[in-house]
Amino acid sequence: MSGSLRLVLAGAWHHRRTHALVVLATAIATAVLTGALLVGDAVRETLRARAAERIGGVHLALASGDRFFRAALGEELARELAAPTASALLLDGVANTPDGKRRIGGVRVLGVDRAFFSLAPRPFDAEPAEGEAWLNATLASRLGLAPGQSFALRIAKPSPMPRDLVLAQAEEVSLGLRVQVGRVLGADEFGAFDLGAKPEEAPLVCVPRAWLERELELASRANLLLVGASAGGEAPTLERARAALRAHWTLEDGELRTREVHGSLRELYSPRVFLDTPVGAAAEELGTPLLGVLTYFVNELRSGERATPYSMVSALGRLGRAPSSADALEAELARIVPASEGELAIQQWLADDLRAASGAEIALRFWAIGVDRKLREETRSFRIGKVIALEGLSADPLLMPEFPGLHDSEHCRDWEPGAPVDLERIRDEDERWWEERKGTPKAFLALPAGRALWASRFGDLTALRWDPAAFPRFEAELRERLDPASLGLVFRDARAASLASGVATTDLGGLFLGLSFFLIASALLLVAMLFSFGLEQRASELGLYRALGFSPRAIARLFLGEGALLAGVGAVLGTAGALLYGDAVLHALQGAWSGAVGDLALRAARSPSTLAIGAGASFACALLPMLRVLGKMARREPLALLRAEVGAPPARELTRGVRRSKLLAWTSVALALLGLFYALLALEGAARAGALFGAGFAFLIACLAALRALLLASAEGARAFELGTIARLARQNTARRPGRSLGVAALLASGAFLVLSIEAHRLAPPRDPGARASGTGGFRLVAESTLPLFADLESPAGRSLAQLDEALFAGVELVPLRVRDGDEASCLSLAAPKEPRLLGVESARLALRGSFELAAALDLPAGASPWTLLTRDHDADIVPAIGDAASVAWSLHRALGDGIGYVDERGRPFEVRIVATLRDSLLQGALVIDAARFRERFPSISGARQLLVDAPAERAEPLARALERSFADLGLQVTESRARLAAFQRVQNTYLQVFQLLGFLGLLLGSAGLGLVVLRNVLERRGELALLRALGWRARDLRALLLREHLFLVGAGLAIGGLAALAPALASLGQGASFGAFALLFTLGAANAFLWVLLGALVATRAPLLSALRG
Amino acid sequence: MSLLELDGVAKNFPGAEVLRGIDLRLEAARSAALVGPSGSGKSTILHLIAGFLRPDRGAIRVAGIDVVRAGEDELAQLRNARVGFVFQEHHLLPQLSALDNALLPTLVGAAQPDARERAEHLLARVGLKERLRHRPEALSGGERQRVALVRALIRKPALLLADEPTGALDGKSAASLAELLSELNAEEGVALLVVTHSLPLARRMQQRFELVDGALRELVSA
Repeated sequence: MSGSLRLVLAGAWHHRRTHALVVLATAIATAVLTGALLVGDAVRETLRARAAERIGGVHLALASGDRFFRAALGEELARELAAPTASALLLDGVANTPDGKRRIGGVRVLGVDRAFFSLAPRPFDAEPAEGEAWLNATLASRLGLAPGQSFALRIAKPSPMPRDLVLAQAEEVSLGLRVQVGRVLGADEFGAFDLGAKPEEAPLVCVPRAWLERELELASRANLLLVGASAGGEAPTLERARAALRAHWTLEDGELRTREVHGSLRELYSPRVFLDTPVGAAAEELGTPLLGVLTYFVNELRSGERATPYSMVSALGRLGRAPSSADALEAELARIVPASEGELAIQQWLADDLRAASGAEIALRFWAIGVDRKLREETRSFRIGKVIALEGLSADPLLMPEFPGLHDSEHCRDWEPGAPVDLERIRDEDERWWEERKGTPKAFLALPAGRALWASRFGDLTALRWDPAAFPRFEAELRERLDPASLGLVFRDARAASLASGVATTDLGGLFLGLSFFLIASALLLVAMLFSFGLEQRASELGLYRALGFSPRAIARLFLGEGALLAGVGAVLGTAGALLYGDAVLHALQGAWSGAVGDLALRAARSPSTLAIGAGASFACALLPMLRVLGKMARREPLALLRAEVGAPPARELTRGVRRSKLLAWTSVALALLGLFYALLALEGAARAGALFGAGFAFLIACLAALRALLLASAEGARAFELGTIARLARQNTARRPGRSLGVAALLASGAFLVLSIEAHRLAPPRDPGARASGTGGFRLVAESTLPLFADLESPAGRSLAQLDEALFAGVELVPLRVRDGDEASCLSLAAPKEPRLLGVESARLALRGSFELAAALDLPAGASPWTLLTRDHDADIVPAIGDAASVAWSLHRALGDGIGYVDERGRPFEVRIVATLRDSLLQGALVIDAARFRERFPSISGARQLLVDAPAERAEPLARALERSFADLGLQVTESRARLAAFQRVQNTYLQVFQLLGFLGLLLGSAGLGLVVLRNVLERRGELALLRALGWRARDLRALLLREHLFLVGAGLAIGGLAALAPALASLGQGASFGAFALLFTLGAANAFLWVLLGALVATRAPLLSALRG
Repeated sequence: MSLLELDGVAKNFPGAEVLRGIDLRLEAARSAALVGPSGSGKSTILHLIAGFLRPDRGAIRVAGIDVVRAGEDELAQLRNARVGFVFQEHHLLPQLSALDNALLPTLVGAAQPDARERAEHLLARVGLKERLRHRPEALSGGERQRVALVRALIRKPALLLADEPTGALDGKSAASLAELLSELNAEEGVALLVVTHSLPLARRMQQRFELVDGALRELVSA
């Protein structure tokens, strides 16, 4: 062993008691630092594992929503791609316990078979039996169910016709099933299956697909197709899958059907009633002569006083290429179709019924196809252009599309369309027409005239007809031309999306490191102080080495070696402590701090690399202050070191220090004032809070610099000092070690400032939830449903249909929101959102109300509402959106003007561009776009799944209860907007709480440093204190002296911190900050510091006098 | 009643019987020297009188105060007002000037309005008129000890205890301090009990006691 090493080891061992504290402080810093990194690891590992559990062995997915393709398509693609596939039905549902006491909404109901579970994280060969349901643990736990028990499942019933169409049935939107729990699926058994990014396990039920198909009357249909990897582990690429889909899909998969109709023609039609716009466009591009049909249900055909109720009217016209020669169809059209768009051709039967002849005026009254299901009747008048005979094409009952509730009815009295029908008005002759001729139209329009009345986002044709003899390949060519993606049949890389969402939106490790900064800094400061004290104690040893010819560098190496040994041992011990600390934080995150991570069950991760990084960083951080202390000591004169005169800085240094401190103090005061006035006069919101925090910090620096100047000046001016009281002696003693004294005051001031100013950022919901320019937007209630709500709650008729008490709705305004499911982008989710949930709202209504508080907007004219930005014209593929400022900044990591890529139902990519942000709003977690653009991009998403309810305070609760009662089957739940906002704010408040707690721990550690300084001062001055006792000072006189000395520092530190925190507090007036909490924190800090000082004073007065006098 | 009375005072330390029933009387304004070999327990007697130590048995009274039975506060008051102490080492506070060091006892206990004047007067009396504002580091050993002497006298004590006051001084300084002690004994009317190895200093005292083997005997002047 080398001599130096022996010296290092001997020194370390000899001073082991002093060193133990250095090791302890280093261990604390290491534990906190590494522990914070471990928390980050745990979050990353949890999200990664969750993502892997959600996606299992699935690589590609095709989710077609309300369009149901052939389940056999999956098998065809499996053969083509040589990869396993699973076809499934994916629907929303609500689960109820048999006693109805527990109701869980937002349940994903999957109709599956064995193929689905073969793609699970841990594949297995089984499937639920008929009437059996396999639940995931989340749902089983929420319902309190175990295998063998039954429960009621209400499933969204698919509608062949988009439910936003007024004629679609809105009554039976769900199907009730009673099922028995067969198995509780673990996360590795696809219990966590989800194609979204939400890390928390959402409720899931798996039932047999075949059984569900039967119950829903969806023969061999599916709306979810999953593709896994081949046995060799190779997964098909997205391109291959898309190509395979194009090769194998049929018109049937797009819910398009063909049949033979009148005149040996073939017809393309859809159970969805309207042909999607891309279908018509693709058919026209084929160049085939086509007959376009658009048939609609009218409530009345009236001529003068006579009226015929409830009839079909068809608009007919040529599409595509004109036929090369006149054919039979041409002649028929010439006979039936009116010559002009203002004319109507009517059946002779109708002419007789209305007693109307050519030239007479007929009024058509019908339910307008609006943007939603609002019942609005329109009336249009036409002149009778011709009266036609009931024959040929005009006698074809197949001109009526498959209107749900109509087309398969034997009698008119069996009609059950979505819109109100007054069966009393149906006469015998109407009944006879229906029984004999079903939906044969009673009148005809030219196609352009019909389109002008009934074209919508769902399409402008109900059928296309062509001559199969002339164009036998029409269907095949249409299939080839039509991109299945335009009908919503599009594969996406589900695995990549899921794994990408397995990344935290915020690095929680970094965040905790930031939150623990003060605690770590306090521990490191303690390391520096303890090491410094140790060196001062050994100053004569240093001097001896110098006297013996050791160079300053050699001495520094020697002591640094000892320091490195201490830091190393501390880092190793701290790493063990980090495991405990990390576990403790994780435990807290699942308990008291669960607000920070929501329901996410975190898994501990102990990566060796993280432990090594944490230990290494802590080791380096502990060595740095040691280096600084050593550097200062090495500069001392050998003689001074030998005499252990290391405390007082030279007079020249004092003078210079006073000058510099004053300069710093004045500069900081100027900056603080500048920041304060700028923040109060020119800034708003978060910018103001940030500027005020900065101003407070500048003031803190100013005060500490002033204190330093005062201490140095006191030390410098001690020669001229004259005693008179203990207080003056105490003040002079305080100035004896200006650096040490300032360190204590600065630590306490910084701790107090941080803890108190953080309190100023605490959030609370607005006191008046009815205030429109607030986070609630003036809406007291928020209603959310699992299944879409189609009732028109804004009209008395709609409310009456829903059997709601009209009196409850006096002074109530409801704003419905359409929801396109997506990733949760609020602070409630830790996973990085890729495609945030989209909400469609009538933006003009929010603009009119002046709802919500604007945080920032892009190019918003003065005085204009930010909601007007949502309807502003942009490029065709850009949809403007508004989001919550916190969600946009922290979850999405976007700024104003940034865009997020989406693909619409037609497979068209578009960009949602953020044009404005709202402050602290209940719309967190989603992006809001205008309803019109929402419908354009997602035409099949019908009904509202969220309602913002502005209700008078006294009616809010009964209204909420009534809505929940009326729409229980839809899983509707109403919450107070304040509660919703508080849930969002809980996340920030929890982080603030964590920051405060860790800051407070730092403050405690800092005050432990204060205690150390007191003890050190007492130890160094034990001779002096003994002398005072020898001179007749009583114990209480000594205590008074020591208390005054150190309480001055405590008081100065806390007062400076408290005063500096006043500026940030200005930003929070009226928010969640509690001045009681301010006072409590301040008192706790002061009491803790006082205790340490008292302890030091007690130790000082209990030391044996004589031995202390002898030194 | 004498100013200082020790009756049968005994004190043992672990493994050593230091004092075996000491009897001592010192009248007001008198001076006495305590001599004896090193380790004989001379300083222990001073420490017992000042209340720094408690005897194993025996009685100690200073100005009628029972030092053995006195509480800590009573002892502190005794040391502050009635007994001055000069140590072999000066024990001046390095951060204070000579004047401030001298004033230290006046910061506690009864108010002493003339403290500053008295300190200046005494410092001038001991030859430090020009050194009032100097810190100990700027004073010689003899000067420091004189400041310590002034500090011991600032409260006008009835009894001044001096423990080897010249022990750390050179010959000249020691002689000067010895002369000063004698003069102040007379001028201030303070009784003086000095522990010393210095024969010249001992000779200046009116009484001399020798401590040998734990027993005290008075030496008669030759």
